[in-house]
Amino acid sequence: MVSSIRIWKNQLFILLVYLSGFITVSLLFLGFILLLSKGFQSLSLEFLLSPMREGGISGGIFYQILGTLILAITTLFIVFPLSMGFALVKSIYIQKAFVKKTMELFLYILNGIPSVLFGIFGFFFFVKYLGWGKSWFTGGFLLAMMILPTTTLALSEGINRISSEYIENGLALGMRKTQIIFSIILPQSFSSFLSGVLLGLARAVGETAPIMFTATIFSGATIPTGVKESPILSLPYHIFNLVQESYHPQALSNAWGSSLVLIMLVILISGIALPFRLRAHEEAKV
Amino acid sequence: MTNLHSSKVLSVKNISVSAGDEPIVKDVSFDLYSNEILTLMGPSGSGKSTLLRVLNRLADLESKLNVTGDVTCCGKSIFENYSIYFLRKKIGLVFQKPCIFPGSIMRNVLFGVRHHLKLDRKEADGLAEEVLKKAHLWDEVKDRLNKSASILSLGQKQRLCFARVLAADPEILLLDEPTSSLDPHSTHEIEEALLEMKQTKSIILVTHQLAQGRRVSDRIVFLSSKEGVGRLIEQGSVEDLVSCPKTKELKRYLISEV
Ligand SMILES: Nc1ncnc2c1ncn2[C@@H]1O[C@H](COP(=O)(O)OP(=O)(O)OP(=O)(O)O)[C@@H](O)[C@H]1O
Ligand SMILES: [Mg+2]
Repeated sequence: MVSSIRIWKNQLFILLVYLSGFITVSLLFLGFILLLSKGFQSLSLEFLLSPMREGGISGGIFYQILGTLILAITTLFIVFPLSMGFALVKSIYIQKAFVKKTMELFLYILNGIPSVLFGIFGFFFFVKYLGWGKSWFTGGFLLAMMILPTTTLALSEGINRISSEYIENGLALGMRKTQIIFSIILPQSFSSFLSGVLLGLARAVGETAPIMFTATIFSGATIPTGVKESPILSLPYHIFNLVQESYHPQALSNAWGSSLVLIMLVILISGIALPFRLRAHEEAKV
Repeated sequence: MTNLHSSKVLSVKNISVSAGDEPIVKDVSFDLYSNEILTLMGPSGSGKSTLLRVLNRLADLESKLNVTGDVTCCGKSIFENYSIYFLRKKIGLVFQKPCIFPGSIMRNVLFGVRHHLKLDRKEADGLAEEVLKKAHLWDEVKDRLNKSASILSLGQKQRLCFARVLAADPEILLLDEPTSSLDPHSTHEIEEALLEMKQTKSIILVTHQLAQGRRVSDRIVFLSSKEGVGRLIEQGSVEDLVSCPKTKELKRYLISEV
């Protein structure tokens, strides 16, 4: 009978879907358990709040956390206006389909560039050519460039989801374009935008490649005092170095601890994004 | 009745609208006089809503739609001699389907007007009360002005949109089936309000209820829809059109109405 074969195929397929879902989730879970068991022992308040000593063998990771936070906040401040401007121009001001498609293509290409290329480009262009030097600002700028596609696409997706009725009603009430942008478009796409920004940021804080040549050093930096030539320490680069160069068991254990902190930071940022993501879905249903 | 001293406020001349190659409305001409209610009738799909959208310039700026012909308002072309923002304040359009912005009832009432006028708190409250009363919604919402507007019933939303348009105090009102979701009593109240507003405004009313047209309007413009294209086939006073329709389309419309 045909139908019984179809039912059988259907069930096999469902089984495969569940199986692959299960494999992915359990790999993720195993990784996290491993990280937790290895990293937890070096975790303490002192570890979080004191500066590194003896090249990472002892002491904590205070300035690494601070540096990563500085990078994240800089990225946030740069990516916010840039992607907002970009998305508004793309979704509202430009009517020509060809230009829109070209901009979209540009964003997808930017999205596909390996992060190490951002690092190399940033090093030659910003650090050397423009003379910004290794600095938190250069790093934040590059990370912002790196997540710009994610945030811009999230915002324009949010904008495109706004029912054209709202815009039409605003126009019919005699509102100008800027008034419509500020009282209809931005408020209504803000949740998808914010969730896009936070998810992009969660990815950016874990990146090593774009910042290792442009923003961060392994030791000797504390709180930045200027914009140019003021490098910082950072969690990803710290982990990278401890694992690379040290055979000391304590250094390795500190690397696990730092990794756990970094992962928790990423989870925290994604966690903040979650309610906005849900609200954006909620709004899309209306 | 249109009195002899009233003047033309809006003059629609040979308006045709098409979407790409598909004609929607063809060669429509009529006038609107001051202090009159003109009813636009016609079968579904004959282009009534589209015509209203031409009049406050939503249609000709839509890239898909192609509008030819002219509309003059007080003798000047709306396409050439008006700032689009000024025109839309002067000609208010209440859409067929109510659209409520996220936020409170108060926010919705003041949504457009707060960009045009600098209102302090007291003036804003006063204006909101005034227009909500005119739209016969005040009693139902006066205790929850700061609550979300999205929970209102469809008929309440319709009146809220009406109030929102009234807030800008337009000289010409375009109403697209403003009572389609209302009970007879609220319908009656809105009709009373329209008759009162007629003292200071001119109104184009789209309705499917012939009885409503008879109750409130001075003149009727009837559109037919042949092969999907709307054409103006008859216009005149209510009595003339109802008692002796000249075209078979209107006759058929009138018969099925009863
Ligand atoms: N933007 C548009 N693009 C393409 N076609 C359109 C557009 N707007 C309206 N039309 C078409 O124009 C015709 C008239 O539509 P319109 O909404 O004006 O009719 P109506 O007379 O208001 O009908 P109803 O009484 O049902 O409200 C319809 O066939 C519709 O599909
Ligand atoms: Mg309609």
